[in-house]
Amino acid sequence: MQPSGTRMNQLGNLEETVLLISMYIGEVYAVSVAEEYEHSAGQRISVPAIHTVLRRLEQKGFLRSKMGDASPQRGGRRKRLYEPTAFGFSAASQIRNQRMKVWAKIPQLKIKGT
Amino acid sequence: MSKPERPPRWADRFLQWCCPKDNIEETQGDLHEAYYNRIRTRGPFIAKLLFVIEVFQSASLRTVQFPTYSFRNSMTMFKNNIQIFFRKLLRRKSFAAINIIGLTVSLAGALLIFLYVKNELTFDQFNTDAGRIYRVYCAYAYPGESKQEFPYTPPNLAPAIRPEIAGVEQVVRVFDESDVMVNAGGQVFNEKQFFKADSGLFKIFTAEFLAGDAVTALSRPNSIVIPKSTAERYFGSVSSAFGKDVTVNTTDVYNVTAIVDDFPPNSHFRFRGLLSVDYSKENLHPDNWLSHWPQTYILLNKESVPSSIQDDMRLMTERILEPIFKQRYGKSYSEQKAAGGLQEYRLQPLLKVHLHSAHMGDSNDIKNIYLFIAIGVVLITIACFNYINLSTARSAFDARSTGVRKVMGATQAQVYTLFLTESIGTAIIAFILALVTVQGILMADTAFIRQFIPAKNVSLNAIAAFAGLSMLVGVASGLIPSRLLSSFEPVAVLKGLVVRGSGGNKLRQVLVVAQFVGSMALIMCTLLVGRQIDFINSRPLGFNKESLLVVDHVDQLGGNKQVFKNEVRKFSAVAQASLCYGKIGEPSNSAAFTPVEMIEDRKDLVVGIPIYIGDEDYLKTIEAKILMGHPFPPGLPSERQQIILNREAIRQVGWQDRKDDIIGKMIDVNGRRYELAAVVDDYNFTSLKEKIGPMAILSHYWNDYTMLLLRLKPGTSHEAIAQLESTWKKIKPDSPFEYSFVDEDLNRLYAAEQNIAMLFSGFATVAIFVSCLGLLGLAMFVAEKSIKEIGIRKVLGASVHSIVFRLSSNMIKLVAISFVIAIPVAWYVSDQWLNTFAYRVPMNVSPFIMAGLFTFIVAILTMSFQTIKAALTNPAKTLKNE
Repeated sequence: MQPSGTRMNQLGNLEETVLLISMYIGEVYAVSVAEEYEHSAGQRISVPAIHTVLRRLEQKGFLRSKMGDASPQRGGRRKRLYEPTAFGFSAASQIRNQRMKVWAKIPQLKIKGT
Repeated sequence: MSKPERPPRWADRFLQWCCPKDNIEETQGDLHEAYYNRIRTRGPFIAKLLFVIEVFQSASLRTVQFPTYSFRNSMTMFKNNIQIFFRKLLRRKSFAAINIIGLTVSLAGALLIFLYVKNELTFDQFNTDAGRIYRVYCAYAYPGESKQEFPYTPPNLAPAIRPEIAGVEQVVRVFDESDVMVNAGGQVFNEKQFFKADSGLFKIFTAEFLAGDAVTALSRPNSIVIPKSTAERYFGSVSSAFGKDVTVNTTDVYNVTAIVDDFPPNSHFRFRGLLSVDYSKENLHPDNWLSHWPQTYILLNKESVPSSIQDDMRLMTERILEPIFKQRYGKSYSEQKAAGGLQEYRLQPLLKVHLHSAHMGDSNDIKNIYLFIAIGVVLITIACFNYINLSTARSAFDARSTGVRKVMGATQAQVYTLFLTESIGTAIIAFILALVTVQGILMADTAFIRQFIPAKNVSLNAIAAFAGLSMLVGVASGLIPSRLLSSFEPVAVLKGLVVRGSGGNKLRQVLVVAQFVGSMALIMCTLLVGRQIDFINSRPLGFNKESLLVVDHVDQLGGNKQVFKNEVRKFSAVAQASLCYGKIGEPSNSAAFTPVEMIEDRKDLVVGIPIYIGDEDYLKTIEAKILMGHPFPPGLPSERQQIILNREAIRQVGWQDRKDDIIGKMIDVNGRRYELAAVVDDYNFTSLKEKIGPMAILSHYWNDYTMLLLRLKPGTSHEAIAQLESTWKKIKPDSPFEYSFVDEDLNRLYAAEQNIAMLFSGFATVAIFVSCLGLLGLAMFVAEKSIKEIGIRKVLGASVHSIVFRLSSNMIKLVAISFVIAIPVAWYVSDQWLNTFAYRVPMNVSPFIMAGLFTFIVAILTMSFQTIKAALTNPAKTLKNE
């Protein structure tokens, strides 16, 4: 499900963050991502923005989705759960590696763990 | 803790509408969940706010579902819908006919009203710059009396304004020269709409010149401008009229300097001839500032502000009137004003003259226009309601077709449009019929209609506007029935579970009551108006108006008047004859009178009264009752002039308890002295709308006898007229012989009332018709709803009577309620109207009872169509599906 015309490693900041969150939580949906994002980044984010990102990531093949259970809180509506694909994992680590290479070239800074 | 509030419902619905369908479930669910979370963490206000914001963020216009009909099959479907519509019309002819006729009647009525209102509202708009044209009116008050306003001005006003007031482009006076005799092309005409006007008239009023031009038309003395109709009447054609001479009142010769197109019917000012003013002969005495007779029109400059022009005028007139008042009344204008007096001149926009000057004289009132618009709206509304009523009442018929269609795969929307097509189609047919009807009415060109709508054809604008309106009516009336009829579910229908007849029953009943209240009230009012008119015709007036003939313009006979009278008296058909002045019914002259002996001590006792002039036979001819004194002696010289007063005049000077001693006393009338010859009992010399006021008959006045009043023997009018005409022609062959009957003239005073009576009966007919439609709908509904119940009752042995009674009882109750409500409404309205007459019939019950009875019978007949038909149906048919 790879869309043509986009480069594999082109991910915006938000997209990357969402993908990472999905990687460490496992199964996510818009509300849980929003909660986690606000918790770690400290910034409020709107749910529909997350929807857009999740759908786009799925389109690019980094996530896969399935319908989850309904709950009374949602008025009986089911939620859509996303989890990263293998492709997503590999794309994420590729991005990290590329970035680390760039960071390593900066002499003054010593980064923990490199 | 109690269950928290739901998210804002409207935002939720909006989301459902504009969110793409493939992910609405999770989106909506996520938003709801976030909302509930936020209520806990950040409070309900933030939660709601964020919910709404996020709804809009999730909206995607691309996938919005507008409630449109899928256009894929539209042309075929449309044709099919039309086909079904026509088939339905043919199959259920009576139903279709009732619907169409109902709509046609309402649309035709509304169209007529529209044409009338449009004509009234566009009065005087043919003048370019109409927005800058104003008519001057006088605001006048005598100290101690209430203020009046009238559209007449002193002749000195316009000449004073011209040099003094800046910002005025043009100001002209129009003098009413009515009732002139014109000699033109060898024929003689007595004309009423003749005016004298200042030369700038055509700079204010816009006219199409067929000959001559605006600049020269009235610039020289002794010029006359005539409209095309007059030119054709006098000389046969426009070209032969130009440049000719006409003689006015036998002595003055005028030259036709211009011919214009007749002013359109929607102009408040129309003329048959316009004379120029001879400025060299004009004599404007300062005293004229106290007399008001010409009308003055002003055209302002583009930059002028009317209120400041009005202020300038006021300052000018205050200055001018100050010394004049002092000289004539003893008090200066400012003193008079301080005592409550007023004489000011104000501007009224030309475009408001026709509809907003009812208090100043005889024009239409904007209130009537509103009334008619309201009636039009009511007509259309009722038509829609009736359509809805009838269409939903027989819903079982359409329920089956809907069920089958849905089984075959139709969506509700498709069935909906089928029924909507039906209602629009009905409206279009009704529109065409209404158009044809109205065009027919206009072409019939009856005088009654022409006074309201002068046009001969329905204008294209009106046609377009009404086509649009009819479509709207079709859609509006179709919405509710279509929704109802398309909502039937196939399973329910085919199983026979559909509850026959359906909702809206309360509404229907209320509507029927309202319609019947309207109809009954209208019928009651019509009957009452009719009674008042009969009363007017038959009530004794204090003099005898039967067989009383007037020969007009006898002043044209000059010295031969008496000869004419003597000749005429010899005819066997003539019982009495008298030379006189003053039309009974419309007194034209008025004067102030006071007994001479009272002048000194009671200076303020000056009473303005109408004046008649009569000879020695006047009282005998009209058969007035003499209370004291004697009629004028024959051959009375003018130095010994005498006066006859009526009882009310005597009462107003305080002499009501005096006896014959007042006969012979001297009375001062406008400065001239008269000897009191007799007192007559009060008689109605004006309309019965007014209480009999004071009146005087003089033996001589500054004007001459203009009429010969004749009492004819009954049944002799034809031969009398013939004889009179030939006698007249012998004496003065070149003057036209004109006559009229006093009783017909008096009737014309009540022309407005007779129009009202006709209008009311017209409306009453329409209202009854429409109400019966409503009732029919109700009856159909009741019949259909109870069809099975009737079947069972019949099987069990009920008679047709009892079933009819059962079905009708509720509706009869409704009619009875309407009757009860209609009575006070009609009572109040007619009472108000009757009170405009000083002499009126007392209220009595018979019109009310008759109206009620009539309506009741009509209602029963209408109901019986349905109830009897229902009561006669074969139970086998209705119960066979059980």
